[in-house]
Amino acid sequence: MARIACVYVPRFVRQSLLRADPELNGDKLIVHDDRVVLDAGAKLHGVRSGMTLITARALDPRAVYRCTKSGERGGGDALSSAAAALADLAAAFSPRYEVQAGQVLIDVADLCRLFDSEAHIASALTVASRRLRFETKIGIAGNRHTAEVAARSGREGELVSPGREAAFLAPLPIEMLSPSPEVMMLFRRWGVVQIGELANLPERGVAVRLGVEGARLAEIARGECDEPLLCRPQPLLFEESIELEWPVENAEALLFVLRRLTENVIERLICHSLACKRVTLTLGLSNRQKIDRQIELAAPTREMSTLLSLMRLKMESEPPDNAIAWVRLSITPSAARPMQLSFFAPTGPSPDKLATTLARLEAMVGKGRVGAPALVDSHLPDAFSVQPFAPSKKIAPISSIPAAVPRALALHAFRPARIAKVDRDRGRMRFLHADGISGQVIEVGGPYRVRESWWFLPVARDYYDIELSDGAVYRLYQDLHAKGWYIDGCYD
Amino acid sequence: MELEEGFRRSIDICSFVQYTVHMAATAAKIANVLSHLREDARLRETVPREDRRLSSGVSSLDVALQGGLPRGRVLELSGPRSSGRLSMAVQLLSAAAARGEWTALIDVSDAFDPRSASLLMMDRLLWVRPRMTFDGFKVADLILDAGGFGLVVLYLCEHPQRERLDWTALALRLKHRAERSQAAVLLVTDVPRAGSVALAGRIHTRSGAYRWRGGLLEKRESEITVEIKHAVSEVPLAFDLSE
Repeated sequence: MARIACVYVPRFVRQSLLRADPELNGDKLIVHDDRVVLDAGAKLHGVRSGMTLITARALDPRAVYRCTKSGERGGGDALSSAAAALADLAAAFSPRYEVQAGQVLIDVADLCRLFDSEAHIASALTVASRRLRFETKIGIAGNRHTAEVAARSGREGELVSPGREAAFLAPLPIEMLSPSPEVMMLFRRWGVVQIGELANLPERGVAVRLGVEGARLAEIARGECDEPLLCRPQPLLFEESIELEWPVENAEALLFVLRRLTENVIERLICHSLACKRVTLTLGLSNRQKIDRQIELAAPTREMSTLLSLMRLKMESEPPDNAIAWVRLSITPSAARPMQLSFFAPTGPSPDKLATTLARLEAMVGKGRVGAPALVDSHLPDAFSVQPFAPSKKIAPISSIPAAVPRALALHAFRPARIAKVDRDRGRMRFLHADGISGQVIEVGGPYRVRESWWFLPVARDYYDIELSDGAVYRLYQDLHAKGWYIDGCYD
Repeated sequence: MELEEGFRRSIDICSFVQYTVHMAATAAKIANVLSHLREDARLRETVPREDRRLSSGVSSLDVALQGGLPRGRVLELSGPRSSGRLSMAVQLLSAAAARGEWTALIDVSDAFDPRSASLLMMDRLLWVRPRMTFDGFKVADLILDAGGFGLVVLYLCEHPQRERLDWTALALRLKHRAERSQAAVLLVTDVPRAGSVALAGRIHTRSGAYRWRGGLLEKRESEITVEIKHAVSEVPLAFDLSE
């Protein structure tokens, strides 16, 4: 048995613009295309929908005008972002959905296993849409057309019981079926006012007189139309943009705007259980130039404070030359790091918290300076690499933990190696001088020769362990090509 | 017909017996695994985590530390160059990692040599290399805030101190964070810096003799002085280069 939910967003264009920029005064907002006013706010001096733009500007020049055409004051971008957000909302509930202008139809037939009743599905859809900053109306019925009519009929969550479609539609006005003007004129002539009256007309007669459209409307009126959903996979494009009323120059004001965009994107990521891997900020400058700022995250995260602090650091390190007129925030999504915690092992930080901490640490200390140390395939004693920190989940049983851990002598590395001067007497090292190190040589170990990458960048060194009169043992090497001496560490 | 029926019944009985034996063996195996898990859990959980101490992996040092590094407390490890400070810190990190703890080394001096560490330790070690001492304390704050780390080592030796820092205030802040996250924190410095108010104890390292064999450095000895709650203990330790 098919059950379709329709999530309808009344005044979609207006809601999209207010979603992108909540600071807009909704009562004073006029949405228009090239020539005509499409939607007008409540507190305007006589401006109504359908009026020409010139008339509207003459009546209320102080109103906030926003064009729906793409590229002009961000209206088009706001609409596409809102449509994508609606698709994300649907994807959070079911993989079978169809996105239309200002509404989305979702197949909820199998959701009864997750929710107690259809009323719960409707309330969950309402809550989810509010998180995405939409005020919606929900209708659930046995076919898509009845669900659409139910969503638009007035109540917030209208549920039509299975088999009661025709009875539900019967008292509603015929305009709810959105007939074409010609067919609507004919209905008026016939005196058909309610949907039920159309349903009672003979099927064959309606088809002969009104053609294909009439037959389809009559079928919908009888609650018998079962057109399937046209499910098209939507691209996972997480973009939000805003055009600023006035260009901004300081990072604080920009962060205020970015916070709203980030909130919107994070809510959309939550719908797909994804996290943010890379942030791309596209900044439109007041001199009509466009610049990109990319932020790579150490680990996928959805935490607002982390993303904002990374954006702040990026903007402070690479400030734009001119004032910023518009901003577009694009997110490259990635799966949130999954982790199965162990029953008996000590628990580490939660994956989300760890990812956030790693991202913050990298922002603070720099790239390549946070992670897990790893050895590389090299003969050079100071060769290492830093890998992303991802501790193994395997835990040894308590019986296999060694009672005593081998005590290894560690080297305190000097990075970079300190240039040294070695005084020799009859081939034996006598004194060693370097920055902060000076002393008589007591004992010498070595040399042991290391040759590396002879095919690319030849390295040839003789290494020595040297005990000095200051009580320390240093690792000294002679570069056989440059003939210089260097101290690269001290055993500590 | 009767013979056939009897034969079929005997096959049924055989397969039933076989099935029962198999199920009994499986049940015995499951019971065995469960008993091991219970024993493992009992051994680990007999003492609440916050009361347990982190073993250093050296029994004499554990005795001096009154059971190991205390969780939720800050200890200061100090000593002159080549006295075994880093070897000691690496030893404690290795021991914690061997017990499945997550560890962090905040290496302000950028001095840690990964070849000195065991593979087990590197698997569970977060290595952060800030450039300034104050940044090191901020990094420690973040790591302790994340929680879940068993041991956090802040290594500040041989780092040119260009910043004027209120060490006692910083150590106190570290102490509060450590208490909240229940991690053991080890502050490694050249000379004792943090005030005793913030510390649960101090460890001093002193240079000992070096052992050479066949013209190569083999091991070095260190004298470790552990000072916890006015009790002072001396522990001789040898660190082996061949390990």
